[in-house]
Amino acid sequence: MALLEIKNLHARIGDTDILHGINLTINRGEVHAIMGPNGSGKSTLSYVLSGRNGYEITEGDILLDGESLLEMEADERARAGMFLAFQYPVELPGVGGMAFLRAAVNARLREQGEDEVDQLGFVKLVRAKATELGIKDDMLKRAVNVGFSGGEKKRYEILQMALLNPSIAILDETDSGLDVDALKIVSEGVNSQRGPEIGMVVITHYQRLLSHIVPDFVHILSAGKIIKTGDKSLALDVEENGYTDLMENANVA
Amino acid sequence: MVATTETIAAVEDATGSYKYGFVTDIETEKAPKGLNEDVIRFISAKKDEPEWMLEWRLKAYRYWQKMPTPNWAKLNIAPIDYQDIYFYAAPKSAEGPKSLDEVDPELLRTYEKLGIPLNEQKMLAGVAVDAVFDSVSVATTFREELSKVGVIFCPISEAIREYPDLVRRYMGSVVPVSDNYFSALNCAVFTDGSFVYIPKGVRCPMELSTYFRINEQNTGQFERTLIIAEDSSYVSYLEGCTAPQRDENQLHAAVVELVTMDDAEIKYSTVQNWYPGDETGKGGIYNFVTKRGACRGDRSKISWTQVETGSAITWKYPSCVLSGKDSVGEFYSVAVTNGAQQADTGTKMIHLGQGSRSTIISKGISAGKSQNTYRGLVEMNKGAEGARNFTQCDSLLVGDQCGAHTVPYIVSRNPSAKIEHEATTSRISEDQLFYCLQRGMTEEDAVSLIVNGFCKEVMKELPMEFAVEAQKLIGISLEGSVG
Amino acid sequence: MSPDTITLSSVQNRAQERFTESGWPAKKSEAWKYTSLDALASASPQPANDISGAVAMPAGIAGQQSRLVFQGGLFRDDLSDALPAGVQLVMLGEDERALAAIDEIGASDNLVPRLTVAKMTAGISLRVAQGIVVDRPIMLQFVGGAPATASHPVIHIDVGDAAHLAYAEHHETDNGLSAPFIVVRVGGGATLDHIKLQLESATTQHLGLTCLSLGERADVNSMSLSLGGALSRLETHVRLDGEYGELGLSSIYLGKNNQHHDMTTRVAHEVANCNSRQIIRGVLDDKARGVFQGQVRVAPHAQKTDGQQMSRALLLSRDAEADAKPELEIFADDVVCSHGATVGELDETHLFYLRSRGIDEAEARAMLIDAFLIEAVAEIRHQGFADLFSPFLSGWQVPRKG
Repeated sequence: MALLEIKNLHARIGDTDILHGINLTINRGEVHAIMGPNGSGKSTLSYVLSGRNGYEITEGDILLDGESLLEMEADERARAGMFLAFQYPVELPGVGGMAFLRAAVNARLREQGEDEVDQLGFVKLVRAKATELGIKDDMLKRAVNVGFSGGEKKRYEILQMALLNPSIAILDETDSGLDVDALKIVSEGVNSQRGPEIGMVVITHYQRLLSHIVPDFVHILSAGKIIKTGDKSLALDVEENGYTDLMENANVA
Repeated sequence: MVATTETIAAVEDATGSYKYGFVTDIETEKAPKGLNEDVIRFISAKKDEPEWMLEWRLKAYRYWQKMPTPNWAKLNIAPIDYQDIYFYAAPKSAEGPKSLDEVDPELLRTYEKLGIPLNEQKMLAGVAVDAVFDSVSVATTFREELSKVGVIFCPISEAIREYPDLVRRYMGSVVPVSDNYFSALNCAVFTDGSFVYIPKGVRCPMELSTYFRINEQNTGQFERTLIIAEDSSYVSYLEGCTAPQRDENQLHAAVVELVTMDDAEIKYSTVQNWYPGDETGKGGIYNFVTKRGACRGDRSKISWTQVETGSAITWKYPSCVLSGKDSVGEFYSVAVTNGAQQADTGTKMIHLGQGSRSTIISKGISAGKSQNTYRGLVEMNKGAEGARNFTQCDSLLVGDQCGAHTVPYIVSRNPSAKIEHEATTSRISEDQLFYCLQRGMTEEDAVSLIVNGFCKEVMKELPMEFAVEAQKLIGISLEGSVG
Repeated sequence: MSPDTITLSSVQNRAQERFTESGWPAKKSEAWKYTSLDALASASPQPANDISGAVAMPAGIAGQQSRLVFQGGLFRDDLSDALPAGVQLVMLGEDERALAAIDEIGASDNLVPRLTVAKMTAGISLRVAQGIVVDRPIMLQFVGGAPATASHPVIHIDVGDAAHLAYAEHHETDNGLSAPFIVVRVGGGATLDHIKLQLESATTQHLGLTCLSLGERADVNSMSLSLGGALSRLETHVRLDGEYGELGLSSIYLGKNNQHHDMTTRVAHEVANCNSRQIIRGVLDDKARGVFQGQVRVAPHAQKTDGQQMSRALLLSRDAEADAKPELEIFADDVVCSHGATVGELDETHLFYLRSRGIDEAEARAMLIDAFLIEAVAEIRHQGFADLFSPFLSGWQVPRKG
């Protein structure tokens, strides 16, 4: 059974239709890249998949391990195994980094009928994973994302992913706002979590990230539809030639 | 809260001997409804008070009769009929519930959430408790330990009889009879409260909690508390309880007076969750409290920390008069309103002494259709050379049906005194909620997490046990307010 | 009230009835808590009927302005300039809409709309036609008067949609009481630049009320300076009635001797998407007293409001006093509202730094006071007004004894 199946998905926000029939199948162990020009619907896709309020699905379905997600709220989908690494992670004043992580992990455990984490053990675990991502201790004591640089925010997203062990991870323009070094660290963090059990959707505008997180499949999204699918070389193609030709060909076809 | 269970048990046990002066034939004598000089004489007689105390009460009563009812706050108060209130020992309503099965399931749900053990639940819900408890008298052991260091902690009625000099010297010196309408009323009819005295140089060995002091059910309405800290002493006092407390009596008008001498410190923490009434506010408690601290000594300090949820109407302004040189006043508050509640709360920092400092951190959270107002006064008088104040008032609005208001009064009569005041308004944004939801937290958890983050600066001033309970309490009082 | 009862005399009668009912505000009333009108209430100066004699004209805006002169509160048409193109002036009695607006304001409990309308010494209505960009500022010049007399001018200004107007008020009179009541309607997409200079004599009491309403996408920039008078209260009420309105409302008060300056503002965000910004600075010396009361109210549904307010007061002497009451009343949740208030004195470290560079104490203090005021002065958008303003600030400072 496929891990994530997106079937003929149509979605709109308010009165504006954005997704016009997306079809995509992601199996465990696969990394799919979704590229596209601005306004193609990339972020909308990530929000619709994760269940954000304000988006209406007018047609189609989303299945996670064969189960439809349409009736599930955002937190239910999260506990079912979906993770979204935000493009613009929001600030939570006064909410300590460690406390937040604990709350998220405990929510998952409670759902599975297990006990909450042992405090000390958890702190050790978090510190270990944080070190791998170059996240210092004092950053964990600060309020979530408050005053964090772009790179710090993205690293904190990947730390959360490492602790929550999702089955499907959607990375929404994880490279935006990152310099060369930050990009490397974040990519390493993501790659270290690749495995035969997890599926990933990497959304990006530029090819650069995909040299570090090498995808199995590349899809080009334009005007709410996938107009072309290929392997990693498609990304290089886009970098060389841009989106325009591809879009024109799609229209002609 | 294991300690609490033991305490309640001990309290039950010690009831007979502790309630000195309350004999069993009390059941047959009750003051009738209403207020007049006879009722006051009755109360004074029941308490076996000396003549001077009765005179004090009567003087206050006569003063009160001449005062106009206050109505300046942004509150909608239906006029209170003082002749329709029992001022002494309201009768128990019919009989209490026979078991937890008869208790309002909403109330039980809240107890569960707060992690209150079953026996304690019974006690709080008014179910008659069998004497199955451990007979270790925690209260008695406790009193022994305190008396070893000379700390006095007893009901105020006992103090009036046993320590009249101390009481006469200090009672009414911080909140005079004439101060306001409800404090005058309190002076006339108060029936219970705490008296605490910490001698020179003593650091009170434990946190004093009102659990340890007997409360006759249904007379907690007009409490009067007096805490005196002599030179270089310290005490931390906890008031209140997180479990929602219903009460027969709607009107609560307490007076709390604190006095600190040179280098002394009093830390007064309150977690209050009075019954807020139904969604329209009907049947809720009216909580009008006058709390004031006099930092008389040099380098003395008084901190007020409060978490207020509950009450249909809250009207309280814990204040500090900073007379001593380099004295310090602090006010940390979280006030949550939901449903149809109204809160008008804040503080007054009156700077008189050179070098005096005050810090005010107020966090107001409004949800539902409630109205939450911060009202504060910072006054720098001529003698307050080099004094400092810092005030931060933040309001968090949950939903678009409620209101959050800030009304600070700033008066400065000394150029070397510095005042800094800041107020902000915000809400829990959709983005913040979604971020937490996407991490698997339920909406309830998310709101609780974000709100507690908002209140963090205040919460860390609370003594540990209170802080944990208070956090849960805030989460519960905001239930159903989002989405 | 039916349309045919809107005449000047009916409006005035109603105002008189209302004033008789409410009277002078009591000391304990919340709105007048820091400013006592007891002395004024007992002295109760009255309007004078005659106007005569020459009038000394203060310097105006470099370049040009159209002056409208009020002597002792009475309108001196003969001394006034011709109006710029696109601006019409009629007597208040001939403008029903203006009368209705004035009458409505008087219905709520306020002093000036009742007292000044009842005792009106001059009533004019200015109209700027739609789309007109008025080519030079209108200067409302208030001069003359005597200690026993009261000036009660009522002025209504209507700025048509998409029009632009700059108007200045210059109050330099010898009146016992100056109580101007000005009502301004700023139409959709219109802009208004405003400056008020309160430079009254040392014995004058000044109670001014200006009521502004902003339509959709209106933009108002206003600055008030209180420098003269024995007691003054400059009160401004603003209603943001149309979405995307912009308001910059600033004030400076400088007090010496026994002066009492009161700056009171009420800004009401009635609809969504408006921004308001207030910068207030006060400097008080000798036994002067300064009061700032600033209420910002956000109505339910006035979402995406951005309301900011910052008030700072500087006390230069032991006997000066500053009072502030910045107030927020918020009924909508998707808003950004904040206010701040500080009171203090000149920083010793800064003073020392300047003196260590050879600058004498008097000049050092003057520099620091200028620096303190500059953030407010920078708020004046109209260049001509900013130029008009500056000399008063530097001229105010008294050289201090070492």
